[in-house]
Amino acid sequence: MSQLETVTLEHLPPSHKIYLCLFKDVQNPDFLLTQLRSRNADFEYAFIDSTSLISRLHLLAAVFRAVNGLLGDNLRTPNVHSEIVLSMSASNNIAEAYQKFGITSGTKHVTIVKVVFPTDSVPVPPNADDVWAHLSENVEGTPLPLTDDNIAGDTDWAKMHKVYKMNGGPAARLDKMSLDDKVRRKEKETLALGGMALRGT
Amino acid sequence: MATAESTGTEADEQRQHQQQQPQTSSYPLPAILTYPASAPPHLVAQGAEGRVYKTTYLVPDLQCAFKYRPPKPYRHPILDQRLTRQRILAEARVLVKCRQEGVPVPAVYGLDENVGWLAMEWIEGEPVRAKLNQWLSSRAGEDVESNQKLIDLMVKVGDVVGLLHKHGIVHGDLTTSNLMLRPSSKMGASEVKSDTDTLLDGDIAVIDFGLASQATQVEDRAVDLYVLERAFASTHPRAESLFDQWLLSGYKSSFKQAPVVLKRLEEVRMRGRKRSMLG
Ligand SMILES: Nc1ncnc2c1ncn2[C@@H]1O[C@H](COP(=O)(O)OP(=O)(O)OP(=O)(O)O)[C@@H](O)[C@H]1O
Ligand SMILES: [Mg+2]
Repeated sequence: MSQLETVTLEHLPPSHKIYLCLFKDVQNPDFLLTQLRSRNADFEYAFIDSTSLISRLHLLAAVFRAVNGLLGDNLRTPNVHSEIVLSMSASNNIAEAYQKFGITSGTKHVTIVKVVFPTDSVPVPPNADDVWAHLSENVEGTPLPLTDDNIAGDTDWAKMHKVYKMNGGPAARLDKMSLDDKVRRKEKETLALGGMALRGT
Repeated sequence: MATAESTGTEADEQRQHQQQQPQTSSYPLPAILTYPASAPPHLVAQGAEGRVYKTTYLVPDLQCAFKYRPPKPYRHPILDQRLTRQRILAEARVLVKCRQEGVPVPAVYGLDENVGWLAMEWIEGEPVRAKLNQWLSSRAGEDVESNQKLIDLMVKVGDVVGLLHKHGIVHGDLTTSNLMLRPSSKMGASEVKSDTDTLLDGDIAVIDFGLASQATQVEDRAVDLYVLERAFASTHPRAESLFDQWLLSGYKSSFKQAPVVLKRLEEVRMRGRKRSMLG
């Protein structure tokens, strides 16, 4: 059964469809990486290492920014998928964004996003079944819905604190407070969104 | 907005209300707000420089305040874009900084500095201005100076202003309209009722950082306090007498360098008095 989710984000046009999926315990990260590096057009996806995800909303904020850039003809990278990876970052350095948020040969769990929309050359973009067929054939891993619970255990907090400049204050303050874990995660998500919004400014 | 119950400042409130009347038709939305959303944009404020819409962001259960600074036809487009960009980014930077330091302000969700919008957390509740006027009118003729609820409110406000200053932020437009009183996370549902006794309960959040700066000058801080003091005097004269004793004690409790600022405040007041005598 397809585990691919079609998400609708607030304030985006229905012409742009967003597909999401999480694969746990991925066995072939090197294969996927090779496809990306050789710019295989069949592999136009944003692959996000799940250790770099704080929450589902964290990812959605990056997807929104990338699609907003696409709509405004204001992309900093070659396409909307690379733009999603860059949009996760708090800095404008594209190579660094790939290193920190993208897939590496050490990646275990990967979150995949695909954005499709009609273009002149492809007026009817692939549908959810097409995308799912391709993913399930090429990603060796356990597909799961992208929920906060399914990624909660994977977050690399040391990395998140560093990339979103929470070290030296904010992270320590939040970690000291007697907060519910969900509340703490939520507040760190908020700080991440702020860092992403101010990327490179 | 429940502003109708105020007493001495009723006319004032009405004026404010009229200014904020949505004029949806004459202003085009930014493209991003023309696409579907669970809660379509609802204009809540129309200022000289920008508009604030209430709408959803990313997902249906996330409410946001969407600030949009439309292009100004009378300004040169290149200059206009640069100014808009700078203002959006300046406001977002201050909000993010505050949030990192734990100062209660709206979280930044996203922005597009080229188009001129900033999406931030929607703060529930009402401005202190409205709550305080409702509360004061429910106690018409009463001596409120030693009322514990009012004292607590003044201390809470001072405490938050002290936090801002402690972290190097000067707000630039401190009024009771820019201080929101939101239901406390600790308040149970049963407590969230319109009983006048609980009107002043809740937590303070500061909004509208459009004129804020990252400043650490004594003078800027003193002027920030002075502006707030004058706002109390003109909008809530019956609460003004609590400013010195209670609001400033909250300020001192959260900000170690308060004494030098308060000393400067005396000078700023003096200048203010001279100016009003001359003028
Ligand atoms: N985060 C928020 N949550 C709830 N309401 C808000 C929020 N931000 C703004 N508002 C509402 O919108 C009104 C106007 O907001 P604000 O004062 O920030 O904008 P402005 O005065 O139009 O812009 P500026 O002063 O930056 O040019 C506020 O008085 C408040 O009623
Ligand atoms: Mg304002």
